[in-house]
Amino acid sequence: VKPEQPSRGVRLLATRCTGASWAVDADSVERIVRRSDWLEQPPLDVASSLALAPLPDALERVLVIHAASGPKALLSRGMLALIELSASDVATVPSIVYGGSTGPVHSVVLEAVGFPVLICDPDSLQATG
Amino acid sequence: MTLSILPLILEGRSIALPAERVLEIIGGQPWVLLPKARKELPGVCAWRGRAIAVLDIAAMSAGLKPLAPGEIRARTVVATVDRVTFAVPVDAVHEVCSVDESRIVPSRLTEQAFARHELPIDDRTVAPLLDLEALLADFSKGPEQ
Repeated sequence: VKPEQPSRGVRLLATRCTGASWAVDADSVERIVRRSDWLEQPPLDVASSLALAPLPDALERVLVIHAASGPKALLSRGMLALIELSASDVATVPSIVYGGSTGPVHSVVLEAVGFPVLICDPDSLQATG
Repeated sequence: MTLSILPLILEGRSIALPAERVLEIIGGQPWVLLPKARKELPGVCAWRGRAIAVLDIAAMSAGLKPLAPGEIRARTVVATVDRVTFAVPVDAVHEVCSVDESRIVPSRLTEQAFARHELPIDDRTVAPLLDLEALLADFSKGPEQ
């Protein structure tokens, strides 16, 4: 975490899973709701879509975020953390990995926080999930 | 005319890479598995401050065991073609050797995806010559699930 560079900073809301975290742009998060209080359409289970294993006894929350296509409800199963980084800590996934098209993970944090963070594109996640 | 070749070793098997494509040879690198990526490009690793695609030759070679999540091979060859950079994890790398182009022949003794030619890299070993351009052209078509 490098909060000393806020002008070029990236803020991620990350859900810790086993071996890696998945994250979305923290500024896109509109609200966080306990899973048991969520009464609308079932949220997209991101860990399952990304084949990540949630931590044992993980808390379940629903993140309502603003995606390009509109609001999305994402299921977070794990420890939530706000991560503030320098933009240089975030690396774009090379397009060849997804055959030149958009994949569910558009960027990664490989070294800055001690564990890998997969930064998701919620629209692609839903399309490929 | 001679071609400079970098012989790679993967599970005891030799595979040749044109040395002109090699940017760097580094040690084993941790890498991150990416969901929905094709099996030959299972993830990314860090190199010079950016993420580059991991190219798993074993995943496109009959009889070889693909990289398991978290598995790190002893050496990483960083290679490039058409401005796309790959990290190629291998078990070992031998010295670059020069091979007369007349000795590079259509594959007959070896069978390897994206290698239509083979060449002798010493008195006893014939290795397939990996064609990174063909590989890149194929992978650019789209993901294989």
